[in-house]
Amino acid sequence: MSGFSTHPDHDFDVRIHDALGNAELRESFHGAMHFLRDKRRTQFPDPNALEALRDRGAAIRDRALARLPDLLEQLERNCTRNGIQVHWAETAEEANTLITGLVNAAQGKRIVKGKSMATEEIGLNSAFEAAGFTCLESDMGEYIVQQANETPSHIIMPAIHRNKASIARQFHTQIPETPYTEDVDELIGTGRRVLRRAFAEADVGISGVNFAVAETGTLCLVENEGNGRMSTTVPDMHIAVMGIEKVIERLADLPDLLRLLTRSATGQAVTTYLNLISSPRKQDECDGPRQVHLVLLDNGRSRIYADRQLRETLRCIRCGACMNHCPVYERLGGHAYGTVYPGPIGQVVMPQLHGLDRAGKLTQACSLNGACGEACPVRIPLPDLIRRLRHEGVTQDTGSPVKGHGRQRKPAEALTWKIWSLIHRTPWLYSLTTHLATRARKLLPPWPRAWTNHRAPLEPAERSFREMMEQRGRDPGGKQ
Amino acid sequence: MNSKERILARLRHGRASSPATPYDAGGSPAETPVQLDIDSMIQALEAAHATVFRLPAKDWPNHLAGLAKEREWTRWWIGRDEAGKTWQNREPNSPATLFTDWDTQKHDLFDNAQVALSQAQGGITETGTLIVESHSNVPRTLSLVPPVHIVIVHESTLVATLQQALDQYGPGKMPTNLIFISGPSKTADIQQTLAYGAHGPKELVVYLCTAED
Amino acid sequence: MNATPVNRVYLFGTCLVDVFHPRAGMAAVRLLEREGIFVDFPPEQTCCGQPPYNSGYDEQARDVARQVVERFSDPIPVIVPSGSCAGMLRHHYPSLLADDPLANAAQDLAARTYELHEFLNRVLKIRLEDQGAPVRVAMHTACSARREMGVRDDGLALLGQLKHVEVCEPENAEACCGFGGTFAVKMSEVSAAMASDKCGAIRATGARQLLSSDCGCLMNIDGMLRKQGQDLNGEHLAEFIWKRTGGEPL
Repeated sequence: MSGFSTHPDHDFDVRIHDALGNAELRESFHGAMHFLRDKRRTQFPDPNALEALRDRGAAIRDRALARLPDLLEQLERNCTRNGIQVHWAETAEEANTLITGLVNAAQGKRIVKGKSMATEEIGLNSAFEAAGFTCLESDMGEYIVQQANETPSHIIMPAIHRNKASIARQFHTQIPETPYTEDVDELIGTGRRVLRRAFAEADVGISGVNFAVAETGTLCLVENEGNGRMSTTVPDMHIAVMGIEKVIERLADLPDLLRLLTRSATGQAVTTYLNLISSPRKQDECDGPRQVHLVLLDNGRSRIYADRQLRETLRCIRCGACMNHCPVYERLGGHAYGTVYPGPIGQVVMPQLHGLDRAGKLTQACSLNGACGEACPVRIPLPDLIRRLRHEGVTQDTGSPVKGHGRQRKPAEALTWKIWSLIHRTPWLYSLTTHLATRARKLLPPWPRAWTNHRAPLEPAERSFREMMEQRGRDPGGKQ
Repeated sequence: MNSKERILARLRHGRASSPATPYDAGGSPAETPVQLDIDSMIQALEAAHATVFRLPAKDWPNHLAGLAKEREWTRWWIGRDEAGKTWQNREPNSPATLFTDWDTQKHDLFDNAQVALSQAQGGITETGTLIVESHSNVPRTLSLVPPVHIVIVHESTLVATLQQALDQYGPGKMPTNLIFISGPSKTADIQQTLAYGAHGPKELVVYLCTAED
Repeated sequence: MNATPVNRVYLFGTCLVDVFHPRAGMAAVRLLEREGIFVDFPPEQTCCGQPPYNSGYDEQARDVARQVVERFSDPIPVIVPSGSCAGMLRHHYPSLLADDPLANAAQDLAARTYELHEFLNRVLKIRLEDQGAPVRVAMHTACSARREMGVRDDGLALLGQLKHVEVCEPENAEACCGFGGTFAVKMSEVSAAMASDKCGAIRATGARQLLSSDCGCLMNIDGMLRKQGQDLNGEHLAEFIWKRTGGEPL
């Protein structure tokens, strides 16, 4: 797998240009985004109920975050008591070393993986490759993407950028004895056949975690396909990887969060499988993994946690609704961002993880239209956070835990805003400027091509509003 | 300090430097309480592509035998639960495979099993969900690997919501693996087109058993 | 505010109205005056500070915001003929000026800021008598008006009172038109792709006229339609309402 850019800003413009020029891609995303939005809408028929549920979801996540260090320790205690081995990793490298070490110790060779964004985040597949292991992605979308040597373009539907014809071609050429067909049932049947073999023979199964319940030491996995259950049941060793923010206090917190997650993500009232794992196979049980490991991944999260506003990012339940509702994501698709997490949540998370010097430009790809914030099931104020990160990108010494602040500042732009501010806080200067603009409107320098390439040039009015009002003041009877 | 201590120290320091503002959840749930409603369970299951039969508990074996004949199901797998035992007694001449030893039976299960029969410990009517606990008598892959899964569930074990279902569990009461099943396995990963039987069962047949008269 | 009758309001004209759509500002004044309200237009007003604010230049935005807070200090409603500028005053000034000596004044200003059509519909509950010929119009509600201010229904309710006006909302009405201030220039290709879809949806309504209560969106959509050789006569909602209800030329 090729992995993701650690410098998403590089060539962002080029990727945007290419994405916009790719008609097939545009069509895939347009269709998919509208499909997902419509499905979500039908799941939330009552706006008041939706808002009440969002309140509860945000409250549950905030309550958990307020007690985060304590809940992590409680989770570790209860998992350990249940027989789940808990590991802590500060960085992606540490997590990868730890996980490959576990696979080595078990003399594992064949690995299957259920869909997990945390393992994408740390680049686990590349680490496995470097260690000489093969790890097969078992979620259908991830499998398609991995086979094509691509990365997921959406956090819930990894192969959303692909249409069935291209998948049909891929299966036909890459999987022996597979005839070309665009019949989706047959294509899924092919994937099922290949992956069943892999499940039956795998030594190690990797999964993510949707939520971990501190009071019981339970890992929750939500899925439709059954590959998550396969990966966590069939191999002798199960390794779960989760960001430290995913812990919740109680089992009773689950129903509201699941309701929000599945409806926001895929517009489903419920997913096919909800899998609650609380221990490895017990003595009298006949199947299930003999070892279960939980890797608690920090990777910058504890740094973000120190800032009260940025901490709201950690409420995220990874449903993808923000990208499904983002007009920019809809036009570009996930790959253009060059990041593990694309779309609005990616524009907020990536600069916090990678620094504003490397991922700050992502925050520009937003018209601040607010659709993401409106869709977020746990009320993360995404537009406010994007704006804040823009501010940090152009400001020195913010005292913020985000790295690379000030590194997006361009002297010409900074100067422009200084002049702009001077004009707009000096009424006579503003008055003079607008006076000149309206009088010399035919002589104005050409508008930036960025505007006029696609739009007619703007023309100031003959008289400004303030002049009309002044005129009225002098001649009150005139227009009354 | 090790990684754990460093992570926890950073979190505790971060929390102390900018304490959280308490979040007001706005009181009690706005939605009206959900009633136990078997019709909505059947509707939800059928909408999820499951087949549902509702009949008195004593009648399911005969009904299933008829269905098995019609569908030409032959290679049955069962566990040592009530449903498995009942089925074995009903069909002594065409014995089902009793699944008890993972290491020797695993490949057979993947390659040859056609139909699995098992008992659900409960169900949720709101969402059409079956509650399946891992159990010493029934391997958990029984409900996952064979292409057809037949589930027996008694109506006396049903609850209205997931919340009520989870109330029965809690600290010290969690099975190794607690599965909530709401239909056959499915995926929409190829161009949003729904396909069943992605990795788990393609077919889910549910017998909702009413109490004996 | 609703308890006692309003007889005087401030008008915050906004910089885009000032330079590009002065007649929209004038329509706002005349609509308010027709309801018997004295409109106070502080002549030294400029802009709300949103452009630098959205670009991350908070300091420059703050310098401008302070002056707005100071100049609109009387305890009377502030009426803004734009959803995004009203949103800036109502939702962003309190946090932008949270650590400023003007923090309390900013809170106070936020609480008495109204988008024009919100004020006309909800507070004044004005009644409109349509005097124009039958026409089909496409209404585009700005994202800030829709989401930040929650005033989409107010614009539509006012239009709904005009008997001979057939109002269509374009398909995907809630989708951003791609303006987003400096976004339209900084991310011009994406912005153009969004605007292009919006123009297509508006053309598909078959409307003869395009209305919006936000000059930014209007400039963007209207500018692209004109570049495409289509003239749907983009007009600010206030100006349209004024003209339809017997108002003299502005």
